[in-house]
Amino acid sequence: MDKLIKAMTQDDVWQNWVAANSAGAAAKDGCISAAPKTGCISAAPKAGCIS
Amino acid sequence: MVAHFTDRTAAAPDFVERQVTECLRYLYLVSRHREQLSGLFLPVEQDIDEIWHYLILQTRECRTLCEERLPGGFFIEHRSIAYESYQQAPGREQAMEEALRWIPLYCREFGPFDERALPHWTTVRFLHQRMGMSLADIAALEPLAPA
Repeated sequence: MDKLIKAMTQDDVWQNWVAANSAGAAAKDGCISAAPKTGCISAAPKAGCIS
Repeated sequence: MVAHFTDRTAAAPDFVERQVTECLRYLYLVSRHREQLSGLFLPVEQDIDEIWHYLILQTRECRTLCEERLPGGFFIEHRSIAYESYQQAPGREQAMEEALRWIPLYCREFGPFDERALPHWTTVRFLHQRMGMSLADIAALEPLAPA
């Protein structure tokens, strides 16, 4: 694991890793399990909601 | 849930079913290993996050799942943050260790990652495609010994 972490934190690999986890590369908005998406728009018909 | 996402994407039902399964596995791991995994950056793909968002909107079912069905018995909070911002706090090496931390825990609970799980876990896909690791190599990863 230690060797793998060292290999994956080399600049070229790291940049690819950040891109794989970043919005814009067909990737992520980014979330953790514990600030919000600052806005949502309705792009589809109502699904219907109840309380 | 599968019908909802099948209707709204071009994905086949069996692919969506697997996305839902991997979302639930993600939540299970957070619940089961709260101290190790809570607060870490999302290790699965954005489409899985969308499933989590949809689940959160079903507030009653989400609370029941978290508090009564998952092993930790606590509500799993959700917060959005860009990876560029997230990784600045722990730093490069720790961020990478955190990303790899999921793998032994997943394999212990659910067995090795297979070809159908591969597309859904960002770290595993990266190790396989970018680092050239086989699924067997990935399954053999051991957790870092405590410092």
